[in-house]
Amino acid sequence: MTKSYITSILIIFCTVLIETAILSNISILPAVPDLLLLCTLYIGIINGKIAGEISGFISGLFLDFLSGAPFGFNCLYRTVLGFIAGVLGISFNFEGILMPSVIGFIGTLMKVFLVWLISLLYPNVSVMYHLISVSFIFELACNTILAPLVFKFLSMFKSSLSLKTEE
Amino acid sequence: MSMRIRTPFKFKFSDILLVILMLVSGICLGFSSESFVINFSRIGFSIVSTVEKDFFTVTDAVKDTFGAVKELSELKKDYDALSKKLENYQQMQRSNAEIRKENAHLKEQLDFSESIEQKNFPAQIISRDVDKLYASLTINKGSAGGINKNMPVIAYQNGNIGLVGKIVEVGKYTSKIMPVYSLDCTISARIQNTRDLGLVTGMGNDDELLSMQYIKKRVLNDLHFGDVIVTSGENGNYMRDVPLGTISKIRVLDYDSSLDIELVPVIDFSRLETVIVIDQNQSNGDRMVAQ
Repeated sequence: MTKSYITSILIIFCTVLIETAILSNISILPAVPDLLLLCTLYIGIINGKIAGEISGFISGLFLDFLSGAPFGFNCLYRTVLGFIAGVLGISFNFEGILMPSVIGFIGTLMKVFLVWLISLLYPNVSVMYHLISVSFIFELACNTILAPLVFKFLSMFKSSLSLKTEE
Repeated sequence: MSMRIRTPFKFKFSDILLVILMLVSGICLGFSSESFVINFSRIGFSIVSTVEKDFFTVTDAVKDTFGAVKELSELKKDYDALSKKLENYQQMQRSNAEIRKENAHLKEQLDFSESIEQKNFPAQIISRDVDKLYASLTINKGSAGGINKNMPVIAYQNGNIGLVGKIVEVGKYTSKIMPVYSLDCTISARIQNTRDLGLVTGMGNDDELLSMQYIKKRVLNDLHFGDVIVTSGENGNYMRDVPLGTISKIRVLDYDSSLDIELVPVIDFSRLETVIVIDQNQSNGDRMVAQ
């Protein structure tokens, strides 16, 4: 169990570094694909609700440290996303190409919805997601296309990532 | 015989943990954003008006599509005429661009930082915000390199000096910059020619323009497209007369006594690699002596 959590945190940390230090500096990209979201979804799906929400919380924590967002912003919606992935994970077969793509697509839309919801509850949290914008459509497309690849890559660490005991 | 009361809900550890993590995040967010309001009227309005707005967007898009077909045939004629003109201009521009590129490169080689009056720290941008929700840049120098909070940051790009933003967070070896295009960034600025004072704010995205407000309508005739906007230097937050952008659009609003001015930033943030952090309290000579 401890090994699974440590592996999850390591994967999340490496993904944060890749996103913030490499992908964010590629100026030709209209938006950065949210690999961290895909990792959180994968961990939630294979390990259930507790692992999902914890990995969502930790990934949000790393992002809050590194980004200009108010502290707690990324934690809040990523925790919920991790939890939802954990709830739905048991019901889905997430192997192949189609299901991971659908999960990536829906996960990104849910992220936008949760961000919008937070902006309603916290008036000072000024968010800039526009559904009809190049940056959002690019992020949505990237997450959808990259989800099968990320899931396939993470499945190589499945033995270290998955919890032996079921919730 | 004991009676067992059955409840329709069962709370597992995962549910309780979710609530705890959400509370921790929510409270942190409440403190860091200094706001938490549950106003059902406002929330309801936001939800319904969003649906209304989307409906309007769709109907408007359909209307625009029909209009666009008509415009398209007119544009085709204009396009052919302009294409010929463009070819000539492109040839001229190519040679001009090559000279400018070479010139800019040579200027940067001349160690621009030494020409600044104040003590300064050249630094490299190592990361940007991963999403377009919040704007920040991270540089590779922190408190160990002499950087302090609230120091202004400028850059030298394509032969122009421009304001990048200010330091908002300092780590040991890295610092975070709030760029001028951030929604949270407000800068006291003047129009270089007329010296009128206003406030420049960002729109949250490096692709978008800056906005200048609180310029009185009476100066409208003195303003021109391309006029340079510079920092006012008031409050001591930024140095005086550092260019921010140039006027690209002026809107006169009937309900407002001020003009709404849009600015093109001097700095092209998507191409920005190196910046210069300025210590306004020490002159450049101090550093030379220290070295």
